[in-house]
Amino acid sequence: MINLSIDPIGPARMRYRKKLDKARKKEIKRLRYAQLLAIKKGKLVPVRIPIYHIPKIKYGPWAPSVGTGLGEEGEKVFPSTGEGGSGREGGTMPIDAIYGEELGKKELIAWMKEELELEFLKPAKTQLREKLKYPAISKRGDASLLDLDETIEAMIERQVTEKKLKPETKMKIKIEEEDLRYRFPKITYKTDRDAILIFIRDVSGSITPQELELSYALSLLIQLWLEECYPRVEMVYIAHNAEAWEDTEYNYYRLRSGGGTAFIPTYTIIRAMFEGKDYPRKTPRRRKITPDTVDIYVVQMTDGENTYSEREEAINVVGLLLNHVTRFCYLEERSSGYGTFATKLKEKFPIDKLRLARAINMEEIWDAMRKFFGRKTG
Amino acid sequence: MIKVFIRGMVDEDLTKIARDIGSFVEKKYKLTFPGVRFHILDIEELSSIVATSGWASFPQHWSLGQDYLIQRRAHQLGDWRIFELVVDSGSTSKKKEPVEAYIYAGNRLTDIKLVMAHVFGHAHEFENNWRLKKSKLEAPTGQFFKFQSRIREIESKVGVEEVEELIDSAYSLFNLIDLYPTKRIKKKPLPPSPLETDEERRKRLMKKTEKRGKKEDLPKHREYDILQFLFKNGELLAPWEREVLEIHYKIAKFLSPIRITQILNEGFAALVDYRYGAEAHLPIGEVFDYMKHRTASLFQKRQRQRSVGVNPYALGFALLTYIMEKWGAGQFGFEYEGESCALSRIPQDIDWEKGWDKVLEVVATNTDYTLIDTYFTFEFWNRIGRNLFTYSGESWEPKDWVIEKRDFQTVKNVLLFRTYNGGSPRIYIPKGGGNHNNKGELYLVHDTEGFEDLLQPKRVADPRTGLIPTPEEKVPAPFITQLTLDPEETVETLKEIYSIWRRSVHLETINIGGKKIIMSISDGKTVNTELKEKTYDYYEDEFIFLIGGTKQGR
Repeated sequence: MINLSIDPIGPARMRYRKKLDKARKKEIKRLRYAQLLAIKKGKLVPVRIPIYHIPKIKYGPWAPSVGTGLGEEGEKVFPSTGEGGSGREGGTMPIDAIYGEELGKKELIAWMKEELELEFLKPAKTQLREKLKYPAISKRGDASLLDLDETIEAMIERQVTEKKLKPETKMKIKIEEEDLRYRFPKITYKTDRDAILIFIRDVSGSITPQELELSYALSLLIQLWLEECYPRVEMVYIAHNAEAWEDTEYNYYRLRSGGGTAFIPTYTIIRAMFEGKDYPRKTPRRRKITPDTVDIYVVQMTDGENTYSEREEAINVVGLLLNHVTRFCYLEERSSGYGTFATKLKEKFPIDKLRLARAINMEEIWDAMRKFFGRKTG
Repeated sequence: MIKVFIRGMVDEDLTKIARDIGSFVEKKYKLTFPGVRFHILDIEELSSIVATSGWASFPQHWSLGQDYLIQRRAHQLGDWRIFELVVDSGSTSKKKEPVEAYIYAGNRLTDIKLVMAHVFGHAHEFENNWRLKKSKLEAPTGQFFKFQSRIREIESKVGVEEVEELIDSAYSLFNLIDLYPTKRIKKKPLPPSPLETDEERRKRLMKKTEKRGKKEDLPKHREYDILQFLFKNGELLAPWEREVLEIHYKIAKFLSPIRITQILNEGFAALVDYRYGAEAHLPIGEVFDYMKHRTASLFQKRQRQRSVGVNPYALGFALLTYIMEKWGAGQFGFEYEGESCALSRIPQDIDWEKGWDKVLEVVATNTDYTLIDTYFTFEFWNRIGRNLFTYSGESWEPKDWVIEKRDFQTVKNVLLFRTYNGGSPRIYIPKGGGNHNNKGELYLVHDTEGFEDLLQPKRVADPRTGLIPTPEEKVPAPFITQLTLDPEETVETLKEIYSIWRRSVHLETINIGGKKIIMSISDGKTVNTELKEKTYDYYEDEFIFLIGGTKQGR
């Protein structure tokens, strides 16, 4: 919505981004940051915007300038008691530095790909899909393939050549056998590269709101990355505490925590999807997955505290699932180390399909992404 | 001719309000201005207009996108806000063109009214200040449109990237423009006498061609306008490059004087809207809103113990009110200065009209430098509370900055230093500097004369790298002259100048030890520095010779 009749900047915005991209590729040393201060949750937080610096001749920092305020001669202007004005702090906030600029989806994905060295996922299973086309017209065929427009056109042409069509007389519609025209079908095969992304989210009583936010953020990032790699991605949302159910996207991210913790009901739901049986759900339709034709990614986000009695069974069930699944990502939301379930799982199935990660706050999400989808380095 | 545009159309209520304010201000405060066109914008458009410094059709460059982003983010995060932007689009011809003003739409009605009064103050300045009148253009909006379309044509013929590289170099030379141009009367050569013999004629023409070949006088006098010199005399430039540089030189020349009249401008406009708020009999609620708005911008942001930089609104406002009181009470002149009794210095029976006349006169005849020179007196220093200090540091990190002095004379000197050329150093090309070494090399000199009164060399404990003397040079004890240039930036700028001149470029300046050095660049990538005069202990050796002693004895 523009009030002025001309937009004074228009093409300059794209040129600015291109210039930054060029400078990053060629590693020109003129990239700097402009720092703005924002107040977030009571603290002054520096927000950085990348800048291409234009050099100008100016006096050095030894030239004096004027300031206002108290202080004696010989004191520092900004004493280091924490109220450091616009001083730069050591890089503790890489995330803010990135979000300082306008980040669209594409830039976030590109940054993730570069920084975290994510591997582009190649579809393992493909499925042929039939598609019918009618590219040609022939004189023989089934009655259901009759093309009426073409037959009438052929009839008109025949009447014109036999000089039966005159401008004074009315046109008589008389279709003969040699006028009939039929559509000629042709079948083409298209390869489908689909993926199904199954989220398993723990909403038991032991989960704090922080961990709920964590799982929300991570699920969004994984969804972004998969949509980049696959043309079609379907999302399945499974939530569980002592029981498990499938939920809609709208409700999934608005769940509150409460109840016990049990993993096996979630795996039975997935098996039910494979076999076509019904399972407890809050969605309108039952879902059926044929595991041989699509790539399946399972992402489980818990805090790892399920009951002792079901641990062995759960590990066996996961083993059964792993045959059909392309990748099983398991995230534990605790500050250090892995729980017993996770360590036993990894001992029994030390394969690349099963990937573990651990995170407790937002900054460790990036490491988790790297472990799940990054390149293996040895 | 006052109009208010919102969403591209004239808004009648606001136009009426604007015309009321305009007529009030014109009659009561004796302001003169051509018409004003207000545009009320939202945050996106305001940021884009601020990036182009107020011109709707500006030659497109990536730095506009960068400035737009910074402005918008700062506004959203609450770091700083811009309320209004006024551009000098009035012209010098008889048919006066109106001044364009852009106002932020997020304010309430009281704020918009006061911003309009503020804008009228700016419009009066553009019309009356001698320095701003001197550099006016004919129909500036049309000129900028021509520039934009011409550069688009060149881009379509030559290519966007090449033009962009050239404009980048031009932007880095924007502050190398003469802000104090002097008119030179060209000496016309005497016409040849009709009694000239053939031989004399041959000799005269030979001299002329020799002179042209040698190019001794390129330039004839000192040139402070480096950008203009580059595009006029750069031999290895293509015609389209000359045109692009000429366009940017004109833009820079037109926009540059605003830098040296900033304190005056802002102080006067703040004073106008302050008076309007106090005297226009606004309803009581509006007066309170107005007081909040005005005090917030007159004081330093984020009141902490200290902050760097001087708020031009605060300083200008304080100076002009001081002038108003003094001249209103008749307390100026020789007799007044001679009075020693402090009681008689308190202004009484102030005649505000006389004071206001003096303020209008000051606004019309001063720039920042002359304002501070004449009116920043010891009396004024006492009145504003001696709150200012000077500081400097060894690096650009704020942690290293140290308060130096708090006395009146140093603060005034530093303020003069910072307002003399808009805060950037003066660099010139000496006579014959365009043909240095007779090979067409460019020689630049950093002007350090005349600053001895303002700045003193100071002693410092540990030297730093950069423009530092090497250990082989003899320097008595390390001391800093505060006029040295920033090492990284000068190196980068020399590369930009080389990319335009395409032959060797030399810059003569001083290093931290106080010695003259020459920085030269000949291949576009590396910059070598050398001492200008090799040290030679001439007098020492002579003394030894006279006495007959040896060097070891010393």
